[in-house]
Amino acid sequence: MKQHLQASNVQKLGYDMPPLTVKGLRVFRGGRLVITGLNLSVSSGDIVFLRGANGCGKSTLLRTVAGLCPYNEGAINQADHEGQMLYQGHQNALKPNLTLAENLLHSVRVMTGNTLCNDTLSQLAAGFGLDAFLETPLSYFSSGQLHRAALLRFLAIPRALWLMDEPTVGLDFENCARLVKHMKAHLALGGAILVATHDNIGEFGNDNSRVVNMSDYAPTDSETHDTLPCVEDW
Amino acid sequence: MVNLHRIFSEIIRRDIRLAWAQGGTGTMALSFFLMAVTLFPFGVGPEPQILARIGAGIIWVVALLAALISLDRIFQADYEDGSLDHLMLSPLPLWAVVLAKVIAHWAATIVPLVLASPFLGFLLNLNTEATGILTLSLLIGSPAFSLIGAIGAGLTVALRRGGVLLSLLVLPLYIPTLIFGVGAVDAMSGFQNPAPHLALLAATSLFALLIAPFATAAALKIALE
Repeated sequence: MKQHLQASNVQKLGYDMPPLTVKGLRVFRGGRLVITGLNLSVSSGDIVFLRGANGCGKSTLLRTVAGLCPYNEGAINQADHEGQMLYQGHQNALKPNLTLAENLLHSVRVMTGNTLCNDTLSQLAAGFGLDAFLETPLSYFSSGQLHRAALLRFLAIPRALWLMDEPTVGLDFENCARLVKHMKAHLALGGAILVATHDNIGEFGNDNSRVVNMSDYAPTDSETHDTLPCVEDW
Repeated sequence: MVNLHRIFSEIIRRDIRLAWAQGGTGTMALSFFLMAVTLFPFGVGPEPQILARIGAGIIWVVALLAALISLDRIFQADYEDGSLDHLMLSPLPLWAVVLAKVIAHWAATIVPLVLASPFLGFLLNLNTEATGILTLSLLIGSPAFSLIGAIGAGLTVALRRGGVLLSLLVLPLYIPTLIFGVGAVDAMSGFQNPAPHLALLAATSLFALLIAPFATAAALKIALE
């Protein structure tokens, strides 16, 4: 018996997400202090924009919150969000030999243990205007189309907390607007979004939207040469 | 409740499919195996007695090398395109993800080598009994190829040219498997009982099964920092 994911169920129920709290976060990467003293709280319905120059730790923060990178000091209540996060980095995580439908189905099955029926699949693909390409191998896709295909994961996998690393790169105006529409719909359902972006994407209303400037949490000059706390001097 | 079995089988299914898709490791390892073994009669001369004496060793060593050249793809392809991040965030524990990928590697890349070995056995003038034991010993011992290899593949996943390092890490660990595997065939040829060798071979595979998923999961976590 195949269990079909009821997308409508999620829409009716919405997400019940405990707030994500990051306290006093301090992260070293490659022996270098990248983020220090970061506090952050993201509740249901919130969108937080991470801004700042290249290399100031936006991606590191997203990967740390997702649990892909370890952190050295501070606390993140990751245990409350086990199986509730969806991360999309710079890489598309798509297999060029497989079709869009196969790629999408694989993502959904691996992340949820459920599968999707064909109708749901084409409805989802229409979310980024890709419904005509479901049976096309991804090796024939343009880079913008590949990026849209990767973003379809957010629509296909019901997870409360979206961690998006530069989701607008390579998107045309129309698809940028679609992305903003999907993000607003997700917030309206009680989800939350943590997004690193350089672009000014859409109006999300002041109540729920915040900007975190990552350069505020960059180490000061004196701290830059701090070493890992666990490394002893030789 | 999340159906973890379904996730497990989905990972196996997809990896087997990708191994035999264009540019996959399945065809590569099998053609390497067939070609490298057929080179030996040209190199050492076609005398049937010599070939029969060294045939089992040749097939075992070349099977090891064929497995070795496919190892780096277990995780590297997924690492390069970001799929590994998603696998790590799946509800399935990382050691189970690793086990699924190892099973897929064994089924898609190693089992074809095992199936091809009887033909190569006849080609190298092994008699029917020796060929039978050769195939059986490969079947019992080869899971260790994938399992032990996965540890090395996990450790070297983030390295640009990790293939050579991977060989240096993994080849010494293959030695027990090789000794017991060839020992079983030699025992058969010398009219002795190959069962003790096969039992020890099974023990190495089972030991690898016990250790490898956890060691590989730890290696991946270190490599992905």
